[in-house]
Amino acid sequence: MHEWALSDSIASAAKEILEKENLKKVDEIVVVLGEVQDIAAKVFADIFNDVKKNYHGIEDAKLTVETEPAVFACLNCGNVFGLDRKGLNHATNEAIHFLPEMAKLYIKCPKCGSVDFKITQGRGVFIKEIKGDK
Amino acid sequence: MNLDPKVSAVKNRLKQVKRIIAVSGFKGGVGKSSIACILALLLAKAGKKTGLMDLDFNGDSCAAILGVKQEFPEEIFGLTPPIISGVKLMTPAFFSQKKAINLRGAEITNVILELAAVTQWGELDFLILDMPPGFADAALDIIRFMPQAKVLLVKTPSVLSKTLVERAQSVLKTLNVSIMGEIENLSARGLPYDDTLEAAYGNPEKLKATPLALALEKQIPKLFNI
Ligand SMILES: Nc1ncnc2c1ncn2[C@@H]1O[C@H](COP(=O)(O)OP(=O)(O)OP(=O)(O)O)[C@@H](O)[C@H]1O
Ligand SMILES: [Mg+2]
Ligand SMILES: [Zn+2]
Repeated sequence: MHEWALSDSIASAAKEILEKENLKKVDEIVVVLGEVQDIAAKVFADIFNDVKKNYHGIEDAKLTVETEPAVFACLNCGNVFGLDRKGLNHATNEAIHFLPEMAKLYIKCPKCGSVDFKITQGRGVFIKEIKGDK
Repeated sequence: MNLDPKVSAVKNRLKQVKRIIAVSGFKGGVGKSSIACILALLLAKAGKKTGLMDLDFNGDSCAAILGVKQEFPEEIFGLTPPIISGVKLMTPAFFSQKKAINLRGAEITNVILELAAVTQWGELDFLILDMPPGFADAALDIIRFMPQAKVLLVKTPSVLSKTLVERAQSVLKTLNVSIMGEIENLSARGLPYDDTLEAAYGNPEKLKATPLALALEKQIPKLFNI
């Protein structure tokens, strides 16, 4: 139920923005889910719509979810590659789901075999936009 | 806008934690991890609700010191730390399957934040942090995300340790981090050299009975005002 912690963190962060920018209420939150963290968008949205009731000013916020594919860049040979989950077992997928950077322990650059690569896109969850009324 | 929600989540996860103690020494190998683990065991033994978080991602040792097997934390509204001899433990070892953690500075910051954002400590009297040596990104970031943490400095009588600690103290001052106390390890005045330690690693009950633990236990009331 990791999705709960993430949904709650989105609502809590939106609440902080609301207070900082003196908004009356938040109308829409655009959230990006990265492929590496592998969050179930539907589960995430359902939980968010429940959790938001605990945050005054966020209750009516509409959630828009966008997804972002994973992009890795090898620091050894420059190869740019995507996430291939072939050969990753359940425990490994769980580790990456909770701590996306741990992918570097389990995945290699398909071209040169280096484990020294960067996640340039599609890492995890972030808020892209918050729309609200002053 | 690209706002990271984890920073806000970390605050929420730590709301019910009364005191955060960062066991730090700035020099490598002075006994930070051993002292952090034994301290957590002793606080739990004294009836305090205690958590221990291993934040030395490149050289995590708490799982080995406490003898914890690879054990994935239970998932309920985040991750529930397993309880080892009364201590709630969270460590990167749960995610690394005994592999070396080959992460760079900014990546370590990300995983520390992620882990702190999902760990459900519940109510704690003490959260002990086993800090990485030095003042690299990770140490500075931990201080930034957990501003309520107070530093417990571990040093040794060696001049090499002392000069580093003195420099560290001035950096901490500029960062507004308070030092709650100091422990001198490997010292006649502080914690003694303990040749039984090696054999006690992996066994929390044995660790609590080592001469090191007995000496540390005597310092607890004064260090923590309890
Ligand atoms: N009081 C002591 N008596 C005997 N050995 C000790 C004592 N304190 C620490 N050691 C030994 O010193 C070594 C380093 O200890 P430890 O890993 O706890 O230090 P550390 O400061 O956490 O190191 P690092 O900087 O690598 O994280 C270990 O082998 C440990 O057994
Ligand atoms: Mg250590
Ligand atoms: Zn490569």
